Amino acid sequence: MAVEEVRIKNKMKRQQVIADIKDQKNKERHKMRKQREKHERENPELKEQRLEQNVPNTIENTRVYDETINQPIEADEDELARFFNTSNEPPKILLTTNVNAKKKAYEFANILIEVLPNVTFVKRKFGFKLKEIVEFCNNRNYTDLVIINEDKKVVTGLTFIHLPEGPTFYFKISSFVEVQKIVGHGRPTSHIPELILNNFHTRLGQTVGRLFQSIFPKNPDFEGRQVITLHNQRDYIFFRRHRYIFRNEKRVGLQELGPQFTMKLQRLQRGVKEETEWEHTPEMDKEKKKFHL
Amino acid sequence: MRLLVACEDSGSIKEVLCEKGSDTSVQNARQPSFVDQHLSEGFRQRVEIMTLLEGGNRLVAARANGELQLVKISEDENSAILTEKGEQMDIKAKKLNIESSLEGLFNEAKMIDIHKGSKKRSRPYDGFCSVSVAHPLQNVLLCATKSGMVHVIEVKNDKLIKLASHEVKGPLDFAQVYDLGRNSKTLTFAYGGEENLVKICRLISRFSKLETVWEAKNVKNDRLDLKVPIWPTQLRFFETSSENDARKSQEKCDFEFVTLTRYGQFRIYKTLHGRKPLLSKSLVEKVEFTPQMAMCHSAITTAGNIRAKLSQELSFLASDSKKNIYQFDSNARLLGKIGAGDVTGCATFVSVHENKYVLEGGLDRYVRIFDLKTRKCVTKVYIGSKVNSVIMLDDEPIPYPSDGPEYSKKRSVNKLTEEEDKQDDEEMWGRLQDNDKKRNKPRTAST
Repeated sequence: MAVEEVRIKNKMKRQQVIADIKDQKNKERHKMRKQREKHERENPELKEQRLEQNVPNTIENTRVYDETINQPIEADEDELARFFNTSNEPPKILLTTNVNAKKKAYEFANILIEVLPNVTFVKRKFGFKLKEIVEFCNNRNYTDLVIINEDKKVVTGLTFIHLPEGPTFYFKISSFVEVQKIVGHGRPTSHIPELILNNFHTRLGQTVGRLFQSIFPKNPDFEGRQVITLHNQRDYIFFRRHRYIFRNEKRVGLQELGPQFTMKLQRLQRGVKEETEWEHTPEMDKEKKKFHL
Repeated sequence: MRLLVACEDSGSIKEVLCEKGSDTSVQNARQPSFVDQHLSEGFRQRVEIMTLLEGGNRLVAARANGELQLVKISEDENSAILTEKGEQMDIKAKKLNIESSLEGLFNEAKMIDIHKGSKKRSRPYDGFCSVSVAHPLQNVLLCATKSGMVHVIEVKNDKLIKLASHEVKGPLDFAQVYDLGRNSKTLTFAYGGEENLVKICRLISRFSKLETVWEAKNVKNDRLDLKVPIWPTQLRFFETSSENDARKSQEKCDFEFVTLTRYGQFRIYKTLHGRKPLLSKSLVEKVEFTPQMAMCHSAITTAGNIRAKLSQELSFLASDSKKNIYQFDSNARLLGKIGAGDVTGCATFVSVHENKYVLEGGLDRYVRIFDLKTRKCVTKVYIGSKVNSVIMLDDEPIPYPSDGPEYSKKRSVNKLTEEEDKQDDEEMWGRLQDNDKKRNKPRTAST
C-alpha cells in the first residue's frame, strides 16, 4: 500500500502506519543496493553500464546552447601577443585600492601581494584620475593595474586593467576565507605557481581565461609544487591555492594554502573603461540554465 | 541576403550569406548558408570603414594602419557553396581583389597632444573617421582622420590617386560631405569632434584651397553658469527650407543640419538663423553615445544626408556606449529601443538599409538585422570577431536547389477543406442555439 492510499481518519494511527510503510521501503531499498553492490563487485562491467545509462540531469549538462563554445579564437598571433606580454617579459602588476580605503582593503591587498607575481602596492591618494594613474603605469612599463574595491569595510570587487590598451574586467568578490580560517593550511613559498583554468568555454570565458593567463608568468617553478586553480562553475570563478605531493604512483596529497574567494564577472570593457563589451544585468539571472563563461 | 562584415580581431572582411530568420544562437533554427573570410591582414591592419562605390562592385576599405584600399568585388567562378545535404547551390561566393592602395594618410604625432586634453582614458591611435563619396563628383572621395587630416582622393582607372591633403583642427569625430547641392566644382563638408565645434569648410580651385565657411558657437552656459562640454559626434545635412535652390543656398552659406553629441544632445542648426543651435535637446540623461547615427528616411543620399526638409516623420537611431540602440523622432522623443535584452555589447556599427532593415554589429561579436518597422530581429549571425562595419550587398533570398532545409518549413497547420469548414460552422451555430434555449428557459420560467 502506498503512502497516498492510507485513509485512516485517526491522525496518530495514520502517522504510525505511514512511518511503518516508509521504513519498510527504506529497508527494501537498502537491501536492493547491497545486492547490486555485490553483483557489481563480482562483475565490474555492470557498474560501468549502470553509470553510463543513468546520467542525472544537472543544470550544467542541460545548459542553454551557446554557439561560441569550443570554437577557435579568431585572432592571429599578433593580437594574442598584444594581450600577453610582448617580448616574453614577466608581468609587472601595480596593485592599489579605491580612494579612502579602510583596513579590510589593505588586508586584502596584503593577501593579493602574496598571490600575484611581481606586484607593487601603491597607496591610493586623492587627486589622481584613472587616466593619470594609467599614464604613470605606462611610463613605468606596468602590464596590469589591479584595483581593490572596498565598500563599507567589505571588499566587494576587483578591477583588472590590462595596460596599455585594455581591456578592463570588473569582478565581484564574495565568500572570502582568510588563510588562518582554513584547517590544516600550509605556508606558501615564493615560487611561481602553476595555473589551472577550468571550464572557460565560451568566447567571453576564453577572454577571461586569457586575462588570468597573462597575469601569471608562463614558466612556473615546478619544484615549488604550488598550484592556483581558477574553477568556473555557473559563471562563478572559484579561487583556490594548493600544494601537491605525489605520495606514490597513484595517490596525490593536497594541502590548501589559501586564501579562498569567489569572483563573478560583472563587466568587461574595451580600452581603459570605455565601451562595454559585456555587462551582467539582473535579467540574465532569470534564465537559470544560461551561462556566459 | 549577402553581407560583408569588417572584423576587428582578424582584420578581415567576412562574407555572410544568410536567409531571413537565420539565428546562430538557436540550435535548430535556420543557419547562415555560407561564411567566408577575405583579405585577412591581422588586428593591426583591421578594416575600420567600408564604403561601397557607385555600381556596387567596388569598395573602399580603410584600415587601421592608415592604408586605404580599393577592393573589387567579383563573383568567384570556382567557388561551390554546398547546402547541408551536400547539394551545390546556384549561387557563387564573392571574390575580393585589392586593385590599388594608398598608405601614409595618418598623423600619429598629433594624437599624443590630442590625448592630453581628451576625456578618453585609453590612448587613442589615429584612425579614419569617415570615407565618403563626394557626390556629384562620383569618383572623388573625401577621407578624414581622427587627427584632423583631410584627404581628397580620386578613383581613376581602378587606382587611388591623392589629389590634395589638408589639415584641420583636431580631433575629428566625423567629416560629413554635403552632397545635396549640384555644384560639381567645390566640395563642401562639415567636421567636428571633442572640444571642436562644428565647422563647415569648402575645398575650392581643384581642392587645393580650404576655407572655413561657417563655424558654430557653443550653447549657453548651464544653470550653474558652467560651460557645456563640446563633443559633436555625428552630423546630417537637410535640404534648406528657404526658397533658394540648392546651388544658391550653397553660395549663400545656407545650410540646415542636425548633430548628435557624445553626451546625447540632439541639436538642430540653421546657418541663416545663427551660429547657435535652433534647438538643443538632451536625448537620454547620463548616457554616453557612440559616434553612430542612422537616419530612417526614404530619401537618403550616399553620404547619409537627407534630400528632404526637416520634418516630423523623420526618425533616427543612435547607440550608447553600453548596449542600447535607441530610436528617436525629430523632436528627440524616444520611440523605442532596438534589440533590447538580446544585444549584450556596445553597438559599434548601426545603419539603415533602404529604410527597411537596420544593420547592427558590435562588441558582442554578432551581426544582427532588424526590421525597421517592427524593431524585431530578423537575422542574427555569430561572426566570431568584433564588428567594425557591415554592408548589405543584396537582400534577395537564397535560391536553394531543393525546397531548402527541412527545419525552415513551418509546421503545417491542419487545414480544413471548405466543406468541412461549413459543416463545422453549422455545428457551432447549432450548439450556440441550443445553449441559448437552455439559458432562456429558466429565465422565462422565473418571469
